[in-house]
Amino acid sequence: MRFEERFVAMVTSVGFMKQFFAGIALLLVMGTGSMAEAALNLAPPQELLTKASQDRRQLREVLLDMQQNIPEMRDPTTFDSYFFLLADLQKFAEKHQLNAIYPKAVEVTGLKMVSHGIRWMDLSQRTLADALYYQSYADADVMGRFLSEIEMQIRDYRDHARLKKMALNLEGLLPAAEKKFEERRDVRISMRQILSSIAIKFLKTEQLTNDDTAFWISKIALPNAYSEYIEALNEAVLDTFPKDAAGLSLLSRRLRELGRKISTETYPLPTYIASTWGDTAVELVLRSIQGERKFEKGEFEALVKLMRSRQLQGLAGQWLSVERLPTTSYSEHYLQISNVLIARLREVGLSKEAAEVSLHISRMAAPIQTTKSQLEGLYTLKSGDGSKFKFVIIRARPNLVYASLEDEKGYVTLGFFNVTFDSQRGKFVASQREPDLDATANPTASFSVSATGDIELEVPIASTGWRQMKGKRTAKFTNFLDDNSPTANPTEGEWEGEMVFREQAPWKVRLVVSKFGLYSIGRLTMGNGVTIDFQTGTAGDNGVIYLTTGRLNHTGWVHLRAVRRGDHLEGQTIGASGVIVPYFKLKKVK
Amino acid sequence: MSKKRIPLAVLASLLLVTGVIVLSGASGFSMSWPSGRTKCVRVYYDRSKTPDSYWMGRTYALFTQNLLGHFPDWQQIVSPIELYQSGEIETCDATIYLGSYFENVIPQAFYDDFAKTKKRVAWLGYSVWKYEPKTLERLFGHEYVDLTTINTKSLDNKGQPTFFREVIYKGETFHKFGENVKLDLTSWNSKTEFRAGFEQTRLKPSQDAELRKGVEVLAYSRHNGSGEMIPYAVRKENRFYFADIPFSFMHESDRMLVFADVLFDILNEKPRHNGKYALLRIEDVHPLLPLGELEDLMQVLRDEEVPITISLIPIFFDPLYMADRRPDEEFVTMDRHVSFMDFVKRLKKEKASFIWHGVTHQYGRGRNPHDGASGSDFEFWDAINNRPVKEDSAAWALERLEDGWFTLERAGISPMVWLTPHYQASSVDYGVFARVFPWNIGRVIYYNHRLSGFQPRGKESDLWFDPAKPGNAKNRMEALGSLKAQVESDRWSGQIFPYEIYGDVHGQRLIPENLGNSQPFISSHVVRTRSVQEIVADAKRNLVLRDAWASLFYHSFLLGTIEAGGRGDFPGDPKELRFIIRELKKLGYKFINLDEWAKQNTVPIRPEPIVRDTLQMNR
Repeated sequence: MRFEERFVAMVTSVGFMKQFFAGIALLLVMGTGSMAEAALNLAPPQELLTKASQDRRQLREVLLDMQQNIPEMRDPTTFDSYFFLLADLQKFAEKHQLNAIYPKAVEVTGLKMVSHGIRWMDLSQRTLADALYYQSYADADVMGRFLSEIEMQIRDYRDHARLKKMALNLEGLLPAAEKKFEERRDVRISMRQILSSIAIKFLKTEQLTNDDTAFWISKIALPNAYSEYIEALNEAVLDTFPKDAAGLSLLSRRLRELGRKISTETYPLPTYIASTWGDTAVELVLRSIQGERKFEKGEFEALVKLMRSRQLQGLAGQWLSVERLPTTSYSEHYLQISNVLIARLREVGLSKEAAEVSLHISRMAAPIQTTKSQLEGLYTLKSGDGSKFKFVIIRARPNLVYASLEDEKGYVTLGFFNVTFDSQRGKFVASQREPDLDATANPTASFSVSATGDIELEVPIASTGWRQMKGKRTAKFTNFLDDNSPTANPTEGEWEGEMVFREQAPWKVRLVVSKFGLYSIGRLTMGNGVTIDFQTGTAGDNGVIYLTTGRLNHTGWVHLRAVRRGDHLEGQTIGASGVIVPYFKLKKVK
Repeated sequence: MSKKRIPLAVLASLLLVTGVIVLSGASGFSMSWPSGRTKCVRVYYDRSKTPDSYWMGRTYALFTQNLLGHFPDWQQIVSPIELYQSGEIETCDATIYLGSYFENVIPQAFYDDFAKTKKRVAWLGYSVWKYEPKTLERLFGHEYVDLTTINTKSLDNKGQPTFFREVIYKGETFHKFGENVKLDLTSWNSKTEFRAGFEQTRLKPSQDAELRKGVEVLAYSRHNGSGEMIPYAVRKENRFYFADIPFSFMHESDRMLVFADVLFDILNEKPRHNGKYALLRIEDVHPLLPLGELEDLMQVLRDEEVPITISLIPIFFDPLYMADRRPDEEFVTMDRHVSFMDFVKRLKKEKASFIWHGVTHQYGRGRNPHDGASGSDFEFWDAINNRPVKEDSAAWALERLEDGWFTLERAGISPMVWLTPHYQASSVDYGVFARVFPWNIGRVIYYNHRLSGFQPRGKESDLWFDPAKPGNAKNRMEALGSLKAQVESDRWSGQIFPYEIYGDVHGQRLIPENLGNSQPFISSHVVRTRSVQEIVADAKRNLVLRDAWASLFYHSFLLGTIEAGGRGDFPGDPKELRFIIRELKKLGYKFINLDEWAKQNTVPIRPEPIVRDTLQMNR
């Protein structure tokens, strides 16, 4: 075999290939061994300091030596032992006027070093002072790399204590970064973004203490982070049942904390942040009221204070649309927060809304006060000239109070369909109807009732002798509205039976109740052909029906209230002179 | 690397006398001088009727003093003509009067003494017409006609005005400057203005043959429009007359060279050299210059048997990242650059000469004015604001030099010659350079100034950078730390030298650079192109001059292609460099080893000039 042939045969044989690769592997091992010989060729830190202190030539040499050895600083301990010399070297640089030959040499060295050593800056474990030191030498690019690394880290970290420390450090870096990277918005935004990300990661946890909540909310620092958290809060509010007072309270605390952060944020935030926060706050307030959650001290004030005008307008609108009367236990609180809202509306210049809410609340206050003090009933009064009068107060609907005044002979009867309560003066103010442009008289009266049922009534339009009246409650009406055992049976339908008016003979009557949405109206037809139409009524769904007429010429109004028991509707009828049908029982016929 | 097209905004600046007049303090005038040397030359200049604003007279005196520095045995005595006292001419071997201020009031005693003296005297420029015509004819064998002016109707082939532009001397033609000049050298599209030294005295030969006897017209001026020729330099026996002040708008082929040569005759001195020196220095060599380019260049020099001379920048600094370099090469001292040091060591073995060309050849971390990188920017001059750098002082300059010396010493290099980056520094810096280096090289910028505060220490060499004398650093700071320069204003001027100077007004020994360098293109660094043909033509012209050198510099990038900013047809093309070297050799120039020459030429510096002026420095 010729040489060439032998060579080809050899290199293609399996045996040769094994030997060949084994040889390469050996070479690699040997090569690796020799490559590992590269090492730090730098005097110990203290020696370098001593050398650098001599003059600016030696200082320059020290810095260049350090620069040259940066790649050989292969662990954080070694790196830091040299990196932290820079502060002293900077002092030497100033003393020796190093800038005259190598301007910013220490800063440049620092940048080169930090570019290498930033990998060892673990914000979750190092002190803020260390972090600030690193940052002081970093440029925007180094910081960019550093922040990217942190972004990766926070995805994986499970240790909350470390994450919290990282956030604290990041926050501590921010003020210096704002100055140092004034021209590099991206760096500053990245820092805020990371800080916000960590914060939101925590805030989405339910188990945060109040302090923790405040802490993490204070770390939110960018519009998108604000948005994200507001969105989360908004969803949580919508998902929280109005009766879940604890849940709403928790959300309210976070919302307030966040609102305070927004209002004091130095970073310019887009207006939609405050708007979406306000929308969420409105929703929370409405739900709280719906669930009759009592706001903590200062809570409601804080919420409305942080709302923008648009939200306050919206809230006022919602306030006006609430027709359901708060329960007795909530009513006073409701009035208190209503007054806070009215004050705030006035404060921000929403006077129209303030007036509307104020009026609405005064109307709401009337039934609230009436219910709270159980003022329904017949009052016997005596005027200044000794004349006797009857004064009747009823709740026509849960949120509606009517009153009427009748003289002893029944000649003069005034019906009050617009009864409000002025909480400032502690008086009810009543008029026949809401102020309007009608040319007919709209008599007004004001009255107050003590806890013992003593009443003082003032009728400004009356003659002097009748203007001031005083008296006592002489009868109470059965209250079906607050019956604790209402049935679910509807009251709609036709009912027949008898009614006895003022101890006369029973009259056959037929009552027709028709439901229209949330309200009912009715007609009472008596045997003598007289009909009474009830224009105002409750829904009647819960087995209780309250029906009241409109304004009648001589009787002011007539009111019927009943509760359904089985196939019967039992109740009473009330007029301006008091109970005119003490008890009736009608049978459902249709 | 970034394309560094040196030379030189300075070159253009040197063409223009725009400097300041020095107002030398009123020193006591003495008829004796300490040097013990017997020959003295008086230089008189016009202080003028408006001495506070007229600075040029003193500057012309400085230039004359500098040229006189080629003759170190001569004591210079400098004074405004207004202070002339009767009989002063007779106290010295030679007198030169520079009449630069039109219709200046000159003491009658000077007219009288000049007319009757047997000493060697020279009159340059104005006021010679104040003599009675017959007296003038007797003195110079010529009549005064008028002053020439510019002809704006008869234009040359560049469309520029014509005037007596050419000076014919010893068969060679020298040129007065005349060009449209940028008013702002740093701007590409600056407005221009035609500038020229067009004015001179027009003389015509005396009608009286008797009076013409012994008259020699040393040089003629020729009008570049009409071709008319009139005398430019005239000699009659011991008297010399030049038709203008030859220092305005100085350049490489300027008529200033004629005056520099006639100075030998005015002083009756013989040439100092036996042969014609040539010096080629490789410019702006720093650790990050591509070694391939440098090696190519060195090989050309070896092939052509030209001693290697390197203008070395010991510390490379590129704070604005303008050079083609690694990120970690912002600040590189040559001793730390292994391959560059290998290159330097090889050159040392070949007995190459190293010129110390600045410490970083740039200033601070900004542009000054080009790109902030070594080799590109000014170091001892704030080129943006056209003034000394803000921290300028002798101590600052010294400390900076110590920074450079530290690196050079570690690199084993001990240069004997200093080259100021872009030839420009403040007066106090030049004062330092003059005293801490045996030799300086190049062109120089001058303010009208006066130095003070120098505290001599031992021998001259006790201040030099010498590795064998580490104590010199202390000497330097003690001797020069308090050196100060008082200057009159911010006006400065530059000067080119045809021969070596043993003491300019700064006190520098100067090796000339009189041929410039190859400048292929106009750029932010280059305001006038210059071809190798022009270089060779200037060298040829200078052959008629006594002791004139052929000194030039060359950049390694010029071996690159035209596309790369060089002059080659291919990368490393040496044809242009070879052309220069071979042509200079053909002309009879001999390339010297700079270090050897410097060591052999240890002539003591000229005596300290005696300067008197009644005006006080205003700062």
